[in-house]
Amino acid sequence: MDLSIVLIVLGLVLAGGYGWYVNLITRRNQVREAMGSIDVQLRKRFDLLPNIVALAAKFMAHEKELLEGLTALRARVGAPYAKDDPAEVAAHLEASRALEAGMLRLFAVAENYPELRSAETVTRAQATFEEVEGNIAAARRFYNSAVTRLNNAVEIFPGSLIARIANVQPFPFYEVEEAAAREPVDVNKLMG
Amino acid sequence: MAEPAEGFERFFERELAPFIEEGEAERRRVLRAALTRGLPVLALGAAGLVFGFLGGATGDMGSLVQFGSFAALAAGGVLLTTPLARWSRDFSAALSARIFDHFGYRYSADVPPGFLDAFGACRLLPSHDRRSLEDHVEGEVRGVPFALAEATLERRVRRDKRDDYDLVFRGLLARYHFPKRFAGRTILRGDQGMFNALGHAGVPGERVRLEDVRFEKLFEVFSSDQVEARYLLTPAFMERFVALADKVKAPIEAAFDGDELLLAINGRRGYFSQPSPWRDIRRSDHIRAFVEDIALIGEIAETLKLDTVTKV
Repeated sequence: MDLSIVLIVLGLVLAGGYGWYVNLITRRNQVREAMGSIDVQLRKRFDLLPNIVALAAKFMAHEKELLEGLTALRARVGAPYAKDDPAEVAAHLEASRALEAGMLRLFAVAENYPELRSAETVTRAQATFEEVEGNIAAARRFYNSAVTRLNNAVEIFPGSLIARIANVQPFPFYEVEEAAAREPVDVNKLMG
Repeated sequence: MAEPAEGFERFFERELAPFIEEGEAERRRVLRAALTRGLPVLALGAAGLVFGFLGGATGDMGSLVQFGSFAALAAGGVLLTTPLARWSRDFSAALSARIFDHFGYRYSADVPPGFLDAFGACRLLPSHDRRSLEDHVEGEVRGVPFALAEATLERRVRRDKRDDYDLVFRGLLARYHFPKRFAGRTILRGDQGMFNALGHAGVPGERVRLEDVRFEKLFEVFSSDQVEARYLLTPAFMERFVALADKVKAPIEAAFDGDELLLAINGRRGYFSQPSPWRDIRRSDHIRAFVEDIALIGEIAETLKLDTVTKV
């Protein structure tokens, strides 16, 4: 009698633990999916960069450092990273933020160069840049929503215990201070 | 609302008042003719019934008198109401066309086939067995193309061993052009509390969890694309949608489909009300209610700011 009760309780604990484990993995996969969505949207924006930089180099001799910094940042954003590793995801998001701010800075500086400003490549790129802005904001909201759900599951007991066993870690949020993103950014400082 | 070339009051005085005056004269003529034809037949039926009750006829003759009396009452009713119903339908259509035309909208009493299809595909309509559509209006409001119609949907129920119909939807079905490009389908269903899982079974797409607490309390969102759903439902748009729900004071559901925003407003009432053929149409306040309903077309576009693109 006592043994059967122990077995039933053990069975319930195991079933509950497995359910929680499944839930954790599902949520982590949702975070990965959301991260993929962000990358898709960011790529649309960052694919604009090589043409703009090539064109800008002709007119913006004094902004050489800015352009080189942007090219380097783009390479950093495009580098492969481990989507399961919160530290690498955080670094990738930080680089994306820096590149985003750098591109906004580039468009702002381009205002001082009428020939560049009126170049078709730049006007088209700027229009596309603005168009994908809404998509990036949406992808960021999707990602942050998935991260909130995962982090809640990971940090609340008994999820914290199961997450440790399953090696599931909380993920960083992708936060952008809109006003800050529009302020001038020292790309070289960011690269440093 | 579209910007009319002249104020509504001026338009009313110049065009509608004479038209309504003529309509009233015509209504009286039709009513008189209907009474002349229908009343004698109704009186005959009533007399037959009284005769039967007083025992003036018994046996087979009594049954025959009773049957004849009911037949006469039915025929009298048809003779009385049919011409008035016909007049009412024609007058209402002509009056509606004039008023909508003033606001720059096109009106038709009949709804084009297939109008409901998109609403059905997005599961915005409750399941029903009988439907009727009327008052199709289309045009542009604040530069936004739209089309809408009134719908009445009923579901068959078995009651006291006979089929009966319960009203499940009566209100407006509207389609507005949406200023953003999108490829998937996003559906906003009314929140059904603890019955959400059951009530939204079969709705296409995955559940989308959004940040706006008030919006989440009122709606459940499903979409084929999580990112696109958030691209369409920006924080600003969610706020506006909640404001619209407050404004229409009726259950409202919506879907983004194709390049359109579909809205189903279950006001449980008739919109664009028409005058009763049994009352003096000059004294009826249906015109005021009518214009208020037209204003709703503009309020939707204005509240949701459908003429502008919001990025966040």
